[in-house]
Order: sequence, then structure tokens, then C-alpha cells
Amino acid sequence: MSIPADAVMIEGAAEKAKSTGRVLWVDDDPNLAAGFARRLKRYNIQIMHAFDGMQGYWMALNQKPDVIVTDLKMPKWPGNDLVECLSLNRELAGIPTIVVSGHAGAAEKKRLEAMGVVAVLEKPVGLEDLLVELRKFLSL
Amino acid sequence: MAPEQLLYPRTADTSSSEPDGSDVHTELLSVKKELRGALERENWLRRTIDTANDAFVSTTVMGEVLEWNSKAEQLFGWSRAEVIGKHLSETIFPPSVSDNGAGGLQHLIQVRSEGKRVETKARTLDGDEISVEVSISPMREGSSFVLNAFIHDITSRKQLQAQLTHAQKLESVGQLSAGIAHEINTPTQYVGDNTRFLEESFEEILGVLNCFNELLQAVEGQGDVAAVVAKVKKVSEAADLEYLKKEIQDSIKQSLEGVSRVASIVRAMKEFSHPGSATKTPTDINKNIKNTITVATNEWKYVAKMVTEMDDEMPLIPCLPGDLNQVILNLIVNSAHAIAEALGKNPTEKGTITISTALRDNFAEIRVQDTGAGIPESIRRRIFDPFFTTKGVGVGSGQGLAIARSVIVDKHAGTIDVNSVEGQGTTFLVRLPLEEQSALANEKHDRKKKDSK
Repeated sequence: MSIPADAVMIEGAAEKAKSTGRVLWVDDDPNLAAGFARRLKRYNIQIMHAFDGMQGYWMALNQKPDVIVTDLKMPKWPGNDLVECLSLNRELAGIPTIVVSGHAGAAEKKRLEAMGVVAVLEKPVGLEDLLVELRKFLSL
Repeated sequence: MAPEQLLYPRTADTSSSEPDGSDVHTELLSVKKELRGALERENWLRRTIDTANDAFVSTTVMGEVLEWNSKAEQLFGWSRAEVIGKHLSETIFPPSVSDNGAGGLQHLIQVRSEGKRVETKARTLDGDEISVEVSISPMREGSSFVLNAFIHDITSRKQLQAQLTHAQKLESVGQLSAGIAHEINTPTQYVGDNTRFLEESFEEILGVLNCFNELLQAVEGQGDVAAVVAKVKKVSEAADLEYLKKEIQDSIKQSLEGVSRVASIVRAMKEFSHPGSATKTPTDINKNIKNTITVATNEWKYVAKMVTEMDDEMPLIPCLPGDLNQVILNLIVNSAHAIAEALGKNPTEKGTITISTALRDNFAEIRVQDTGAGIPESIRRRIFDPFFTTKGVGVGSGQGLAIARSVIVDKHAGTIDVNSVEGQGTTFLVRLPLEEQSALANEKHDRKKKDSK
């Protein structure tokens, strides 16, 4: 299975420091992922970007990231469907998944956590809050 | 015989059986009786008209007032005595108030042939404008006509309609607000991240600049040049200037995009929710449509591509901009729902919403076309009915198309039509007259005819 053509790898032009973590970021806004990529690079985290749930699923299969961060409302598969598919795939079920979204209500949060999502963060999210979660799974 | 007895005979029978009555006397009595009957009838009709719940106005063909009941006195403020013989345009239908042009009932009766019921505005003695429904019937009077009209005050009905439209607007703004928050949250997130990144990058660049400053001093003879050059190299490398150069440029560009995105959403929202004037204003409908598309972005962007084909030659259209926005919004949301329904739960691609404007035959046409599920033939007749909905509880109140119809047809004298093929999609066609009322043209035509006589 190949990566869809419009998938983008966001990396520093001169990536030298050894990556301490590969994070798959699933959000339909490329600028949002680019902003996180710039900030997380200082913690040696490398970000891969998928634009929708379906693309995120294939990239998860192909790239086996250390952590997946996903939005909920997206074209094609929304975040819910992605989380469900990830949890049903034996190869991917172990990858910690964090939801960063402006759409997660209390009930939704409960449901996502029941499906194995490790954290549900409200957009806009502060970098420190995100790092608290990432540190649980990456050696930063 | 006492005069009272003549005026108020006990009964017709007793008066005619008067033993001493002459023929003249009998005749006189019969005339009196007829007169009394006529007076009673007149009085009875007068009281009937005066106790009517609606204002009653009778005029000559030219609009001169012949009759005016108590309700008319109450509603408009002029007494019967003041108004008889005056022209309607001097009283309740001055040219400046009546949106059907100057005039009397003759004009109103010509405006619309069906039903002879016309909604218009009237003026009261105090100068207030009230909404009225006029129902007119012509009555033959010799070689001419008399125009009789019952005028019903519909101000409260109009207010209720306005409240209903407003309520639906609030409801949709409520629904929109979650989407708008998301649309603003995303740029807020990355503009914040980029600014932090720029802050950190600036610190690094300052570090490099400081090294260069040291180098300058060393070259000017105050230090070990070779050692400082090595330091400059090391610090520059650590800062990764090539990376910074590219990313700083990108982050500035993307942040500006984000800020202008937020600004355009806020601007569109402001213009969208602007209550608008109560009277029709010349409006750039292309701009209104674009604003509405922006405000509703979150409603359609996950399921559809938006294509716009605007006629750049479109003149300003006299309309109620706030109400028109509401109609466009309702049609866009319907299209998005129809496409979501067609795509099913796991869409692999998006549908398309195409919004176009065009000028045709003195009308501005707005088409909202979708590639959605289509409307089943069996319910197509009912879609404009208030409270009719096929959507689940909480998705829609069934007001959207009813209000669209009311806004376009009742308020703008336009038309709204639907063309739908099940499984392929639906097109709504809204047509707005380029001139405020085609009746205006009629009026000019009438005046011309009158002048040439």
C-alpha cells in the first residue's frame, strides 16, 4: 500500500539531531500541523502529516509512528472512524492516540477514552499540555 | 292626529285601518313608512359597517373618499367628517408610504389580479406606518364604479412573521457558532505556535548576531580572530540558519494567512448577522453570497467542494440583505445535508455545491445546486410547508425552506423553484426582480396613459 500522493512529510530542511519520536498528525489544515512541527522539532520530534482520517490510517499502517495525534471533524473519515479502525487493527492498536480537537464534548471525550484514546485535548492546545501527554510515550 | 302618531305609527295595519283616513293620508303614511324603512335600512347598514372589525373605505375611481367607518376612524385617526371628499393619497396612501406607488384603490386593484387582496403599507394621522391587507371590490355606480375596500391591520401578523424569521436566524446562528469557533480556533492555534517559534528563532538568531559582533571586534584588533571565527561557525551551525531561513518565511506567511482567515470569518459573520434595514436596499448579492459561504464553511467543507460562478455584471439588487443571507444559508445547509446523506457514513470523496448568479429577463437568478441525495417526488410539493422536515430531531426545525419561500415570494415578489432528481441532486432557483416591484413600471405606464388623454 502506498502513501497517498498528497501526503506530506514535514521535516526540517537540515534534520540532523536524532529523532526521539515520530508523531503522525492527522488534521485537515496543513498550517496547523506545520505550526506544531516547528515547535516540536525543538524537542526532536518529527511530525508526519495526513489530511484526513483515511489517509491517516494508511500512513499509520505504512509508517508505524510512535504516537498518533488526530482531529475529530475531518473530510472522508472523521477522527472517530480513524480511532475505531486503529483500535480494530492488531498491528496498530498499540500506538497511543491523542485527540486534539475543538469538537470534543464531555460525552464524546468519555466515549473516545473508552475506545482507548489516551488523552483528549481542546483546541487551541498549549504546547506544555501536549508535551505532558507526549512525554508519557516518548523519551524527550 | 298627533304628529307623534304620524311619525311613529304603531303598525302598518292599524294606520291603514284608520276609519277617518283619506286617500292622501294613506299615501302619506305609506311614503312615511317607506322612508322610515329606508332610514332604518340605512341605519342598519351604517351600523353593520361601523361595527365591522376592519376599516371600511369606499372611494370614487379617482380615489376620493365616499365612505369611512368607525374602525377606519380608529385605525387611521381621521374622523369620517374630516376625510369625506379627500383623496386617499392625501390621507392613508401618500406616495411616500405606499410601496405600491402613489395612489388609491384603483391603483391597488390593478396591481394584482388574483384575489384582489393586497398587502401594503398605510399611514395614520400621527404619521405612523402600518402594514395592512386591503381587499377591494368594485361596485357599478351609474356609468362609473365605486371602489369598496375592507382594510385589515396586519401589523401584529407582520411582527410575528419577523419574529419567526428572526428566531430561525438565531437558531441557525446558534448552529453555526460551533463551526465558526472551530474555524477560528484552528488559525488561532497555529498563529500562536508560529509566533512562539519566531520568538525562539529570534533568540537563536540574536545569539548568532552577537557572535558576529564579537568577530567584528576581534577583526578591529581586540581579540583572537581565529577563535571567534570557530565560535561563529559553531553557533551558526547549531542555530541551523538554513532551516530557520525557510521556516521563518513559511511561518510568517502561514500566520498572515491565519490572521486574514480569522478576519474574513469575523467580517463575514458581522455582515451576515447584521439585522439589516427594514426597507430594501441596493445590494451586491454576489458579495452577500460569498460572505454566507464563508460563515457556513464548517457546515459544508467536510462533505463538499464549493464552486461559485458569479455574474460579474450583476447590478445592485433591491433586497433585504439579512433575509437574503438567511435564505442562502438555509439552501447551503440543505445542500450539505443532502450530500452527506448521499455519501453515507464512510465517504471516500466529497460532493459538490455549485452556487451561481446570472441576470435573466429583469431578474437576478441565484442557483444553488448540489450533488446530494435528491428530494423524493412524493414530498417535493411539501418542502416549502412550515415545520415540514425529513431531518432528525435537533437537525432542523422544518422552517428553512418555508422562510426561504416567505422571504423570496412575499417580501421580494420573486420566485423560488426546485428541480430535483433522486440520487443525482437538487437545484434551487431563486429569482429576484431587478426593480423593487414590477408594479412600479405599471404605474409609470398608467400615468403616461393618463397624461396623453
